[in-house]
Amino acid sequence: MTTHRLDLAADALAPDAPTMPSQPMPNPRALQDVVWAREDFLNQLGEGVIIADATGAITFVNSCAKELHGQAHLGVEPGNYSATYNLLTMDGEPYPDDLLPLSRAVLTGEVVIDERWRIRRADGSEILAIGSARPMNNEHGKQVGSVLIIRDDTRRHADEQALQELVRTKDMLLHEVNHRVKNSLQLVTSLLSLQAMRVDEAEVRAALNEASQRVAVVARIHQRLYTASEHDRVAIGALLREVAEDNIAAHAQDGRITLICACENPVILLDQAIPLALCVSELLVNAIKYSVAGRESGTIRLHVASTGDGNVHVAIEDDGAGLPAGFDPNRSTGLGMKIVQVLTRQLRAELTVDSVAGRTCFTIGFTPHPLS
Amino acid sequence: MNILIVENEALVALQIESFVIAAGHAVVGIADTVASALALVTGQRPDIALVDMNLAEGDNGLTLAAHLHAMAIPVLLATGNCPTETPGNVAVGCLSKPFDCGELLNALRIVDQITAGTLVDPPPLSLRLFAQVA
Repeated sequence: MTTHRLDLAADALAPDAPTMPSQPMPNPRALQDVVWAREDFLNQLGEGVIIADATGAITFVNSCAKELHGQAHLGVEPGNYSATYNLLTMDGEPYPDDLLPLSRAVLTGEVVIDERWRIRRADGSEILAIGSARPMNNEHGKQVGSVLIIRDDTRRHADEQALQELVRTKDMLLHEVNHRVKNSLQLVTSLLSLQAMRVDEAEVRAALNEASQRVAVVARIHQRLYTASEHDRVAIGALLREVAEDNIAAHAQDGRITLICACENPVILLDQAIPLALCVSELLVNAIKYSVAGRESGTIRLHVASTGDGNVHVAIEDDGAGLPAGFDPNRSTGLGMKIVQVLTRQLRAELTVDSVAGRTCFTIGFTPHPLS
Repeated sequence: MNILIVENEALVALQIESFVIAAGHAVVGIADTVASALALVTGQRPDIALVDMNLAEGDNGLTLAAHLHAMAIPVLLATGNCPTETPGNVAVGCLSKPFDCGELLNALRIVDQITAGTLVDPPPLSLRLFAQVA
C-alpha cells in the first residue's frame, strides 16, 4: 500500500518561531521520526482518518480511510472532495462540497459530529459512512488543519432499518388487534341490544341493555387505543368523558342531563384504565339515575385531576336528591356497586362518597402504575 | 367445600365467587397477591385453593401454590395456557381459562375426589391433571 506522508502534522508541530524566541529549533530528523511514528499508529486504526491542512488540501489518508473509499488522493482541495472521492448524500445525490463535514471544519472551524453519507467506491460498490470532522488548532488557537474520522456504517444502518421495520410491523399488528377487539366487542353489544329488543319483560330488557353498556365501555377503551396508536396506555380524561356521554345518551332522554367536565388528561396503563373506566361508568349510571329522579333535568359533573403526590382523583357528582340515609358504597349489594367495590379494590383505590340533598359526589383516588 | 379464590382480575373473582356460592360451596376469601392469600389461610383452612398463575403486583401463582402445598392445601391452578407440569408438583391440576360455570364446578369436584382418593370419572378436556395424581 502506498504510504501517504503526514506532512501537515509536521507543519503543525513546528514551533511558531516569533512567539517563542528562546526555544531552540528541534532536530528536523528527530521531528520526522515522531511524525512517521504517528503515521504508523494512524494506519493501524480501525477508523478512517483523513487530514487536511489549513487551506483544506488533503495531506494524509490512513489505510482504513483508503479502504473505505477504495482509493486515496492527496492534495485534493475542498471544492473537489465530493467529485474526487465520489461522495453522495443519503438520497444518492452528489454531496454538495461546502456541506461536507471536512469542508465545514476547514472553512468555518465547525465541529461536525456523526454526519452520514454514502461513498461510491472505485469498483462501483457503495458503503454508508458515518463521520465527524474537527478543526485542529495549534497551541495558540490558530487553525492549522482539520481532521475527519469515518467509519463504515453500512451494516449498523441496515440493522437499524430492519429494527425500524420490525417496530412498524409490531405497531401495525397491535393497531389491528385493538381494532378487531373493539369490533368484536361492539358486535357483542349489538347482539345484547338485539336480544333486549326482543323481550317483553321490562326487567330483562333493562338487564340486557345494562350488559350491553358495560361491554361498550371496554370497546370504547380499545377504540381509544388504536386511534391514539398507544397500545398499552390511554389518556383517561378524554376517555371518561366519552364514557359519560355514552352513558347519558343510553340512560337519559335528550337534554335531560347536562354534563360538565373538568378533566385533566393523565395517561395511565391499560391494566388500570379498564377497571377505572368500568367503575366510573357504574358510578355515572348511578348518578344519572339519582340526578333526574323525580324531576325534569339534572347536571352531572365529572372531574379528573392529577394531584401533586402523583395520584389521580376522579370525581362523579350529581345534583339529585342524595343517597338514601345510611348508604355505604362498600356494603351495597346491587351489582353496579359490587362492581365498583371489587374494581376499586383491584385498583388499590380509595372510594369516598359525600352526599347531601342536592349534591352527591363519589371520588376514586388511586396511584397510577409508572409508565415504562 | 370451602374454597379460596386467588385471582387478580376482580371481576373474574366475583364471577367465580357467584358460581361456587350458587352451587352451594363456601368462599373462604378472595385474594390477589401471595401475601393476601396467605393471610386468608391463617386460622382457617380451605378444602381447595383456586389459584390464577398471574397475580397482582407481579406475584406468581406458582409461588403461592408452593406455600399452600407445604400446608397440605390442594391447589387448582387456573390460567389461559396451562403448563404441562409444575415444579415440585405443587398443584393438583390446572383449569384452562376461560372456563364456564360447569367446567369450574366439575374441576373442583374432581380435585376434591383426587384429594379424597375417590376419583372415578375421567377428567374433562379443560382440566389438566399433573403427574402426582395421573
